[in-house]
Amino acid sequence: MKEILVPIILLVVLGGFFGALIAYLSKVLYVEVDTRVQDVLGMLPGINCGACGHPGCAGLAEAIVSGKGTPEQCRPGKQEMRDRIKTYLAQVSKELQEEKAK
Amino acid sequence: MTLGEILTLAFSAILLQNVVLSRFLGICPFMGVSSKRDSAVGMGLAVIFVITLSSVVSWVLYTYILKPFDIVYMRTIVFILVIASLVQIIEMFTKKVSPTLYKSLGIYLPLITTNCAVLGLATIVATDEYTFLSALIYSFASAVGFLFVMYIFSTLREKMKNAPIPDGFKGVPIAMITAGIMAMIFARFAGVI
Repeated sequence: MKEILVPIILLVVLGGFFGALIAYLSKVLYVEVDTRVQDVLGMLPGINCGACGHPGCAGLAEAIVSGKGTPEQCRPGKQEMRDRIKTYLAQVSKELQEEKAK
Repeated sequence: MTLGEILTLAFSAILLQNVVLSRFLGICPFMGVSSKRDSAVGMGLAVIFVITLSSVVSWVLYTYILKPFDIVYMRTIVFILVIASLVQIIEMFTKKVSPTLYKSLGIYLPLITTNCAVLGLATIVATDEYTFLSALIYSFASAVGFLFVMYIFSTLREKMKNAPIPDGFKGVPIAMITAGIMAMIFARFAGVI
C-alpha cells in the first residue's frame, strides 16, 4: 500500500505546490493587456503556422489591433473569420469614440 | 572542486558531449528556429535560463525527495512538472519585468517546455549522481553548448539561402545534411581529452 500512496501523495503535493505558486504569482505579476488583442487572438485559427510572417497567432493579433497588419495576412483563415475580426474592430473603435464623446 | 575540474566539466559539456550534436537532444528547435540568427540566439538564451534553473530544481527534488523515498521511477513526470511550472513562472516574470525581452523571445518561451534537451539534461544530472555544484555547471555549460551550436547552424543556414542548391535539397533536406556533417565534426572532439 505504501508503494502506491507515496507517489500519489508526492505528486499531489508537488502539483498543488506549483499550481498554488503559479496562481499566486499570476496575481502578483499581473500585467494589464489590451483586451482587444486577446479577443482577436481568439478569433484567429490559433495554429501558430507562421504563414503571416509573425512567429505565432499572438503576433498577428497584436499587429492587426495596432493597425500594422490585416486579417488577410492569415492564410489558413477563412473569409468569414476575416470579416468577423473586421466587424469586431470597427464595433470596438466605435464604442471607444462614443465613450470619449461622453 | 578545483578550477581545472570546473573548466574540464564545462569544456566537455560544451564540445565533447554537446547536447545537440552528440546526445541528439533538442533537435526540434535546432531545425525549427535556426533559419534566422536573431531568433536562434534568442532561443538559445531562453534555453540557457530554463535548463540551468530546471536542472538544479530537478536535482534537488531527485536527491532529497525521490531517492530517500525510493521512487526514482517517478522522475520523468516530476521533472516535467517542474519544467512546465518553471517555464510558466519565467514567462510571467519576464512579461512583468522586461516586456521587450518577453516580446523578443515571443513564442519560443512556451515552446521550451517541449524541448527535450531540458528534460534530458535534468535526467542526466540527476541520475548520473552529479554533486550540486557540478550539476549546476554541467547543465549551464550544456545549455551554452546549445546556444553555440544554434548560432553556428543559423549562420550556415543564412548563407545557404543564397547558395545555388538543387531544388530537391532546398530548405530542410540540406539543413539535415549540414547537421549530419556538423555532428561528424563534433564527434572528432571526443579525441581531445
